[in-house]
Amino acid sequence: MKLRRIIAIALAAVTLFSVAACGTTNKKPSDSAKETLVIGFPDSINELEAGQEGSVLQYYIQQIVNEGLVALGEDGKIHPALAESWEDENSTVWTFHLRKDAKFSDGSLVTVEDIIYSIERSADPERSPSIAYFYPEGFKAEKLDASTLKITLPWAQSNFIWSVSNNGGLFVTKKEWAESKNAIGSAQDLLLGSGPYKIKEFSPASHVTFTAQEHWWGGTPQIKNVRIDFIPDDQTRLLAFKQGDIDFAFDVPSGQINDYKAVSGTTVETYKDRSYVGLTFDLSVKPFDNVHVRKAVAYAVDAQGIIDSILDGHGEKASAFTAPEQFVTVLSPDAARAKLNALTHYEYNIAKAKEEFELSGEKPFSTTIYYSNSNQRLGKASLVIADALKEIGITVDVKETSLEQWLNEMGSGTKGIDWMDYRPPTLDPAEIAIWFLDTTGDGTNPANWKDESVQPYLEAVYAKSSAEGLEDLLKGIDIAQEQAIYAPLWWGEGAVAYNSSVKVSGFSSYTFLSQNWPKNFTLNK
Amino acid sequence: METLTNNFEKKKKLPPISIILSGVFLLIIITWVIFPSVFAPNALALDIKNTKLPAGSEGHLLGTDALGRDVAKMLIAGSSSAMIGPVCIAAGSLIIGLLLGSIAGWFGGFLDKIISAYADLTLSMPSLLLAIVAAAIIGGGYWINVLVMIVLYSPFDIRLVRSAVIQQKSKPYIESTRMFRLNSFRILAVHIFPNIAMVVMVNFFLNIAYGLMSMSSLSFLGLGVGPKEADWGRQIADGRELLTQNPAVALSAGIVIILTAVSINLIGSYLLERSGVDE
Amino acid sequence: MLTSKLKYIFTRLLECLVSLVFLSFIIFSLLYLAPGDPAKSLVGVKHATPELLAKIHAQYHLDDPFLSQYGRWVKNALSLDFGNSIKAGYPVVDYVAPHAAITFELVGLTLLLSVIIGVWLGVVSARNKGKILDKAIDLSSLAGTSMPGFALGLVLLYVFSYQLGIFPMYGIGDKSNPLDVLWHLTLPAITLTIGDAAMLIKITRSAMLKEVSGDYTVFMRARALPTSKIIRAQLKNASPPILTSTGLFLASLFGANVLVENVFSIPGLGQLLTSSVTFGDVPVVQFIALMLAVLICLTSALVDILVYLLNPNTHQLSQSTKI
Repeated sequence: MKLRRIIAIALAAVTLFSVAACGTTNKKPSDSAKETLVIGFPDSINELEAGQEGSVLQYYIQQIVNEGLVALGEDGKIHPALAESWEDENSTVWTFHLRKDAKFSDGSLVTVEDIIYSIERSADPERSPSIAYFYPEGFKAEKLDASTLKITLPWAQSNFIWSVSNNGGLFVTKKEWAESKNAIGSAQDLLLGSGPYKIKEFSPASHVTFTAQEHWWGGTPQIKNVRIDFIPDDQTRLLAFKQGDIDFAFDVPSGQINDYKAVSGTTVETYKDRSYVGLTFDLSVKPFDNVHVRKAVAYAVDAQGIIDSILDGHGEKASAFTAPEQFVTVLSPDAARAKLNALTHYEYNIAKAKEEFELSGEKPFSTTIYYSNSNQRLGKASLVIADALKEIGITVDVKETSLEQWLNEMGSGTKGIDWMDYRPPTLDPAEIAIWFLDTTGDGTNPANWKDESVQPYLEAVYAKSSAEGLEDLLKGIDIAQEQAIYAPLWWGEGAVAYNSSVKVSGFSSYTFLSQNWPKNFTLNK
Repeated sequence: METLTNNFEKKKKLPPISIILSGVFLLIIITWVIFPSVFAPNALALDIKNTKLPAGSEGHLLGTDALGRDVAKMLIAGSSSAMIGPVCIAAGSLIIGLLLGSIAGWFGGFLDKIISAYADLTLSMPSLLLAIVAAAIIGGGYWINVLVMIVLYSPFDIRLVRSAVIQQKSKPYIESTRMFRLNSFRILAVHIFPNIAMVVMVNFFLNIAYGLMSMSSLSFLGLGVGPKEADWGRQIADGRELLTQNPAVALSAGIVIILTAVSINLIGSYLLERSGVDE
Repeated sequence: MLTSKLKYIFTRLLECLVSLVFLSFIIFSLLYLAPGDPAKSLVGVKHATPELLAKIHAQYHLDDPFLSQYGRWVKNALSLDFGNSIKAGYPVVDYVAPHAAITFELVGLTLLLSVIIGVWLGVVSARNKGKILDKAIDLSSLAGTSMPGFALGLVLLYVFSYQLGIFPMYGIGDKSNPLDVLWHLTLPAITLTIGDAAMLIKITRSAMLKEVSGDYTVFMRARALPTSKIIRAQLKNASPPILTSTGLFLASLFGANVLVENVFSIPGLGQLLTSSVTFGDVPVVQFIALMLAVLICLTSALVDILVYLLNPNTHQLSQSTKI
């Protein structure tokens, strides 16, 4: 008899289940009054705070929820956010005049105390491990009056303004609220900020939804609801787009561009995404301390061939380890491109590669290239490189590792040739250079490169403004490339696809990093 | 009674057509494994000028993959990584099973307790999940996965051998050999193993099928062979992104895995039936 | 009788507890020995200064000796404090809960479907022993066991979600609507069921075959009792091996689940577990392992009790089958 009951329960469950099935099939996203913009991202997160993991997706999310003192505009320039204006003395003492009408999404006013609290929160490596570096040891943030804030740095840092933007290291939240929560960024304790949107729901590794908030100083945004779906698998994302589950697909892989185009009513836009992909040689690994070996490898890689086959032509052969579009605050991309192309770099030439390898005096040797499993393109490119290096006497094994392991071992003296794939979150032209060219200590750059001669140029970059320090920056890059410490391969090209229910104006590599980014979208009724 | 006569009748008949087909299919796979260079010379040669060709392209029956490698050749070359690992898993697990299982069954006592506890513990754990976690911690790799699988598969063999040994031990003819104080190893080897050989062999066979599925699952998750090698599980993972350009990459590997596993299982359960062992 | 059974169940739970401690120790040591530094992953290579790394190491006690780290974990775990996730920076329980909920739903749904389909087809198969229907079921269940979940899942996704548009493409849908979530989990559950039910069919069939030839069956047939009643009686007697293996499938489901979650982009435990392992997020991995182990232990105890309640007279103890 007990069994009968079990069967009865089971049957009841099945019935319920079938009802569920019927109940939801008809209830496809109601398109009658389109109020929600649905974006599909090729990445996934389990928590919302950019300060914790610092993934780019978290930056996109916090961008519209939490504000910094300043923000990035669509033009690539710094714009006011919580600060209306600011000035600096010798790039060391920074004074910010705050907006008086800024309110958090719960309706309370943003105070200087909240901002100072948020800055300290960001500078604390225990709370914000991935952004704490934005604030140098010994900096001081103090309140001058109810609407003035002073930050004193221990040394001159011309690019500090990026640190207090929400593209760098500041996401202002309410002190009283933050102190009362212990799981900020989780599904229970969503973020509280003063940005144009507030988070409605967060389902880790699945999606996050936003609604426009009425208290934003810039006025209530046009698009009422935004939903971001995390779909790491490219194939699934394509299928979801085809079915109309998402309106806008970000970072469409080059190999799928034609598949997206084949969906009727779809617009595919490509844009330079400012990313840099190249090889880094670890000078502490023999024989890569030999400049001729490095040059031989640099000559042997057919970057254009890789772009044409593996990237389906979507990429630009690189002549430097920073993309031309990264200079947008100081130069037009074409002007920057011309300057970068004039820097020393080694074009594909297998004869020269053999010549250099002979010059090096090294015997044929073998090495391993590792790539992260989150970047299968680099795996394929590795196989192509291995094929080419075989010709000059270098045997290459290719191995896949997890992203964490790959990052952990970067510059650790174990990988002679390593991939570098980096998309700068800020528009600071020197962002990559201040890492690559820092030869002051152990592991300060990924190549274990120790050459004092480049330091004066780097110091000049720190002290001068971006425009004034441009020539120093280029000279520094040239020194590194002349020695073939880094072998640039390509500058990335991104693609986005959207269906006829949305219109997008002027999509660029920093659209999702700019103030109130949903304003670039219009929903077609 | 009924089953006995049934078996007797079956022995006179030819094996059913499904068994013959499975056998032929497995023979083909085995020849691929033994002579890869005959059927697929230079299977791993890249050709970045001819990538993602669809199936049926000239010179490429199943098209090419994202690196311009011939899919049909990759399939043939992938057979060795698909089969050799699982055979080693089954063999390793068999050896451990025979060794520990007969020790536990024959000597009993404390040794039995320890060995059985180990087997019970491991058997109650989700083996595939443990394999995935272990592979992820160690960083994966083909032979590491084989070792992990042997550790996780052997408890079943241990149990099988142990209970068979215990069953045989109590039979009068063994009791009598013990009276003659024959040495344990000799009794086991001469009198007991021949009696349990069939069960153990069938299990060996079925383990190959399980091994194939587990190993290809790990490869699919990127925890198996490196990108340079040919492997069916890997081919499915790589082929996912080419589903619209050349579906043959993923589909052909998927079909071959399923057919191989089905063939092994069919033959395994056929042998089991013929051996008259009750499931 | 009852007390001996209770004693048996108690011993089982105790054994389970011992294996839990053993498992957590093994996982902890493996993670301890694994290369890589979670602090470095957190800070990012670009900015990982020794000072910054030292602060995070101190925060999570990453530099303490192995035994003291493990001791601390055990001590805290006993007071139900599982620490903070290194990656997310907030309590592990909050971090794991949303993922666990989804996986438990998926596993529960699969178990339900497999039991219904497996037992049903098993009974049909046993009652038609040797007939063409029996052979057809046998062959298809054999095919079911031979299909790796990821390959099958891809095919189902392609055919039913994409080509035919019957099922959703990905994810778990609107969490506030349980029916929508259930709907999103259907195809993944079917994928898992195909492999799982196949095993249950085999077990039900062989258990039922023993009952079909039982004395009471002959008796009931002679009394011309309705077939449904006979089947019910047979099924009741055949239930111990069916229940026991269902309990064991639960354990194996968590493995197969990882692959299916991957194919259908479901944010469950599988995704969280593998990413936490590679990140070196020890508190999270330990908590998930502990949670699954407790669940598996409790299930096997529950199965034992159920088996006892259904057939108090038989001495059917748990028999593990191949997972």
